[in-house]
Amino acid sequence: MSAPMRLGLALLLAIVLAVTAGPWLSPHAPDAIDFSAEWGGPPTLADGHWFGTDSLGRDVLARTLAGGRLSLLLGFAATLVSVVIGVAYGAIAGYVGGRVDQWMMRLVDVLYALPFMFVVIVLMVVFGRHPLLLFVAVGAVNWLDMARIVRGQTLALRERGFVLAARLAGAGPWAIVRRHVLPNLLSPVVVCATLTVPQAILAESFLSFLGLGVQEPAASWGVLISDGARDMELTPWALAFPALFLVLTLLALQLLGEGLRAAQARG
Amino acid sequence: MIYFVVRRLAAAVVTLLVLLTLALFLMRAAPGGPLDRERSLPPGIEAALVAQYRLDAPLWQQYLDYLGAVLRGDLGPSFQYEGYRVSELIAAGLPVSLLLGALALVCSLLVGGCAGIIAAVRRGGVLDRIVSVTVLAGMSVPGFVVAPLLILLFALTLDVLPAGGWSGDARELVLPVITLALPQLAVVARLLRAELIEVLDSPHVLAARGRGLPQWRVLLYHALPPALIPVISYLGPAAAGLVTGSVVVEQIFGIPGIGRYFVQGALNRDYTLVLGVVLLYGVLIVSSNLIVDALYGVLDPRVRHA
Repeated sequence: MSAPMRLGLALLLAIVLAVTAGPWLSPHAPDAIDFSAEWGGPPTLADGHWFGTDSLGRDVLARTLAGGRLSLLLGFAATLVSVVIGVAYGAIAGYVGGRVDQWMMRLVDVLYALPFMFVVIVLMVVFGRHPLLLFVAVGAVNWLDMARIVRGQTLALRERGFVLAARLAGAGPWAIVRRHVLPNLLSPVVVCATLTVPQAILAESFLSFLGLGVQEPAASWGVLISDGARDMELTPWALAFPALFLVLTLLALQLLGEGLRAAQARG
Repeated sequence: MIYFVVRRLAAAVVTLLVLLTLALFLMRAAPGGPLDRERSLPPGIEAALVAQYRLDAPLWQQYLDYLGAVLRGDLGPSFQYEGYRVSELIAAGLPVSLLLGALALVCSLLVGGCAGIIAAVRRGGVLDRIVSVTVLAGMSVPGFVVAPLLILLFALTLDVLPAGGWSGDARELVLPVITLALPQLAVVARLLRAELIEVLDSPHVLAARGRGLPQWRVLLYHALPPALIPVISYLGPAAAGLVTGSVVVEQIFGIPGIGRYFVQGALNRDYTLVLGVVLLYGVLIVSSNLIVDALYGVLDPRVRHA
């Protein structure tokens, strides 16, 4: 493992750990107003508001960690959606091949040129801002790369000896894809998924920042950054900490994903 | 060559048609419409509005009507801005957004290009390290984080640049353009560095060096042109990135471009406005992809004959 990749992994683990342990790390609830503390108070060690309080007297640490839980969850869930769609689509196109493959991939080319972020926005406008829809939509946007990679790999795998052997042994196409093609796709899919997660988190934060994603009282990093930016003159820490966590997460996933990709390219 | 052009054009038309159809049917599938208010309208008025916006025609009729209107350059009336047509709103906002986008593109090409060249020439050195770290930061810090930080630093703390607005003061452009250019700049620097390092080791550069040409000549005339190809092909995605970025940037800095109309329209369920802007973005992105394809063909003969 290369040094940047190790750094990324360590950073990611630390963030996931902190975010998961959130309720135990901070004595305050993310949406509770602390009437005993100064509203909009700066970070202090004295009363447990390590990251300060926002302009409504809520603990920034607790909110950052809770926001991270939601952002990471949505990011991973959206990636899962994109993996399912992308792998199914790519494997079918690659294994069936011929005219079907040509048309399926031409559709991917057309979709590639669409400003998909805006289609998601239209979707959110039209169907309301439901969290379930949010991650399905974000995931449905990010499957194109996955489909291309999986299709390419499947095309190559199809011609390998063990697939021929399986076919001669009487295995049907479904069994071959499931038993012989999919397991061999694992490593490129993992690499691509690792690079999809930051994109999904970014997309969710982008929508939430614009007020089109996660809605109050639930808060993701995007919502917190949006709130923090509004009050940044008075409580810059309410902007700084969620922003820092988001950036570190994106950085960690980027480092990890690129490290994995480089390791894979080396073989 | 002609086959290449026709094929690309056909793909572009299909893409736009798919986008239009997708967006239109999504909207019509919506529960609740743009005429929903806090209080329900008197039936007579509602019927008149429905007739005015022609929401009572069958779906396919509305689709064909809209398609026809779009071809004539009419995007329908805005729901939110009464008395305005979407085309008028876009015509008002587009020059602003284009100016912003063009400036950001030029900045990211110039600054990113220089950074990439320096990093490639001084490969492994201190400057290369600095560029690499900056690139990584530029790629993982989203615009909606950069913009508030820039405002906090340059407008609220140092008080040297305005925090936003659009009154014709050129200084108002600085922070939005930086925010918009930063991620693209990072990608340009990275692409150019990687490609240039490879090209600098190639035989034709060695030959140029061997003939005793000065370093800068080798770099500018022999190594740079072939290394620019991936950068050119990135311009398509870059245009898409600038468009997406401009939505956030215009919102934060209070710039009256189409991105701001778009967000306002989306928050207020102004269907026709949102649809019109999505279409416009589609046209911008598809046409920039076309231009890139054409440039690519000019720069690299192998593409033309493929």
